[in-house]
Amino acid sequence: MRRLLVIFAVVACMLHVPGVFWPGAFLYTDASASHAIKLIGFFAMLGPLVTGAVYAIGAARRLEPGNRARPAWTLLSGWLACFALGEALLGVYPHVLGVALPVPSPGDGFFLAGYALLVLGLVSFVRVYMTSGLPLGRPLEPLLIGLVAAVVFAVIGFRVLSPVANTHHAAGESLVTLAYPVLDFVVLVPTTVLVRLTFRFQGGRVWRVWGSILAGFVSLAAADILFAYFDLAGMSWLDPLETVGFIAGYTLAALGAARQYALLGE
Amino acid sequence: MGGPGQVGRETASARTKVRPGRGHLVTDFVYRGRVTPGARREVLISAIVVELAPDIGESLASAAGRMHLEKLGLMGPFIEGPDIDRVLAALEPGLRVFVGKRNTEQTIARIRARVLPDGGKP
Repeated sequence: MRRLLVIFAVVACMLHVPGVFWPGAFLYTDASASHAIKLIGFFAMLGPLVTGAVYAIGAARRLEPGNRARPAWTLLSGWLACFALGEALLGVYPHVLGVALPVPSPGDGFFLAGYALLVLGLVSFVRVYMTSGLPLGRPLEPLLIGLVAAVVFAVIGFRVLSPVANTHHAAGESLVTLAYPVLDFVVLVPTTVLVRLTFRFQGGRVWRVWGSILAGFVSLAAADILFAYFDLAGMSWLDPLETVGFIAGYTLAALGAARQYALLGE
Repeated sequence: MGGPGQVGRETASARTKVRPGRGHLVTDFVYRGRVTPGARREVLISAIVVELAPDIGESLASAAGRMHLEKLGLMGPFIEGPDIDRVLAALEPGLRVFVGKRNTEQTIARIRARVLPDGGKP
């Protein structure tokens, strides 16, 4: 399954990337070919989200009741499930109803709920890992890293997103355009702490699990921030890169969940 | 591994048993006049590293082993059987969080088998 996810993601990315350099090519101008590529991109995002949610809940269930990491894996699965529902709803408009996506759409509710679960899950992982009894650093280290990361991301976020905030979007559009990058910056704070914590597992299977998941978060954050910028600059021809970022992010997160599931079953 | 003289100046000597596939890790010690199952400190740490490295990486495995030995005040050149159990019991909760109960129990059993005669069975 892991190999299938990677192959599908690579194929989908390879179909999207040329659209940036040759937007006038037949594949991207012909209505049905273009629709087919968008459909492949949609499934390349939905597929990893669904499988990732299943693997993450499977990993939670493979941990014995009472294991302190179990709720954190459940929250991670909840994040992937909410995003899968959000993505599925986003896909209904262009691919089933054949109409343009309303902004905001019902899918946005699931995405926002997913972010809440993700942040809770990541904070829970940090807390559980720090108190696991393994030598993962001084007790105050995660707090300090978190504080520094919060300040750095707040400054970067303000500089990057303030031009987007000053554009004349409708209220709903502003919510979609701004909320996701802002939430991504929030997610990057516990992500930075987890990078530091899990980096100590280098060479082990635990590191491969977290290397995938955390790389996925970075890819998703980059995609959201690029989306905000492209939207502001009217550079819609760069949209395929955003899709590639989402495909890579969801696939990496799903791979991490699948690796954890496999690790617990061995 | 060296000869008994390297264990310490006290009264310790080591009788190393060779087990196929396991090298010279399993050792009984004659410590202060009595035979006691145990392992040299570095042998125990090596066994912890060998068994934990695939999951948590070599560096963290070594640091975890040394940290628990230090926390338990086991700073001597070799560790007796009951103390080995204490070290492994201290490692267990941390491992469980990352690899689950079943994997942890199997890993701990493999470490015991590496450092204690007959896997620590009485």
